[in-house]
Amino acid sequence: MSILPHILITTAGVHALGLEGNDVLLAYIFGVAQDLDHLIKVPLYGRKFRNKEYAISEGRPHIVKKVESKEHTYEVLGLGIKRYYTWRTPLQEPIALLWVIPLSFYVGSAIPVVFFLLHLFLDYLADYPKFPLFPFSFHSTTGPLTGSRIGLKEMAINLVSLCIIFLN
Amino acid sequence: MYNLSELRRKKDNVMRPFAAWAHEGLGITPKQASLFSFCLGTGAVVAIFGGQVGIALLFLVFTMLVDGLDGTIAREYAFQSKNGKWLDMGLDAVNEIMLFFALAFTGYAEFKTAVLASFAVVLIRTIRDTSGFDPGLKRVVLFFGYFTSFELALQIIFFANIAGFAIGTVITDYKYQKNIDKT
Repeated sequence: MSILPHILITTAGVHALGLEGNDVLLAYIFGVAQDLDHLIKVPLYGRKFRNKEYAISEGRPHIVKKVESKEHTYEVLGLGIKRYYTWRTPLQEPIALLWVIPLSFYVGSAIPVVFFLLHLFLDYLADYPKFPLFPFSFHSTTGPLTGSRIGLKEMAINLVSLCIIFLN
Repeated sequence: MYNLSELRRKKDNVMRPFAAWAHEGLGITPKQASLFSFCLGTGAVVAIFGGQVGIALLFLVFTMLVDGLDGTIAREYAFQSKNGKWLDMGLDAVNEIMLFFALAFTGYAEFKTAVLASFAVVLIRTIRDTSGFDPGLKRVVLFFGYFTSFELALQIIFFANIAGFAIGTVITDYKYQKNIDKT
């Protein structure tokens, strides 16, 4: 799921729950900021795909190659965009509840867990592969509700979030 | 924060003469060292209940010294086994949890903090071998707590190990991704 629905749904949650002060900070940390973990994979991604060279050599604007690996299939697109590269880290998988829940207990607030679950919910609407229990299990899933188009789902989430924001 | 294998190598260099004395001189095996370390740790727990925190920390010094011997003896004399590793890891965790709860029972720390710190020290052990990363802040922080407060020490233990776990999962994932990207 792209960053905009995460920002909007977190903002909607903040408005709906009437959060203030540190709670707002916690909501955005666990609802949005964990997506920064994608940056960790940038060096690996650059090493794996030499994007421009590959797209030019293939000379095709859309899907130019499917890379089958044991875990899943990468779709290599033109212009250097690689769909289904595993950008996610365990920081935004259900396994992270092992540290998010204790942290919630420590701060004495359910905000981290609630907004983390909200983030997970959106991500699991998208159809890319996820490893919910990695590194303890290699089980891979695309999650529920992956049948319809992601753009449509994002639009619906954005609309609902905007309604909540403006109604509160 | 440190790299586990590098730390083990450095620790073995320091502990080698003591390990030789313990194993060749006294015939101590790694498992015996683990059990003896646990007994000393239990002594620290008893001392806390007796209101002798200073003596408890003295016990803790010896606990950690003996605990450092088992791994070195195992590596130097080819005693390494999965059972031995689990025994050492399990006894260390149980000992730490006993210490944290002893501090909570005697009013030096809150129960909530003791529970969270206990959970965190168990959690970090589930990932440190695959990630090769461990913040190393467990029992040793109690010495700091003696001069400040044990409540603060347990909070540090909780934070360091819960963060260590989260970082450990990312390191493991990075290593795995690097590996599958080669294919």
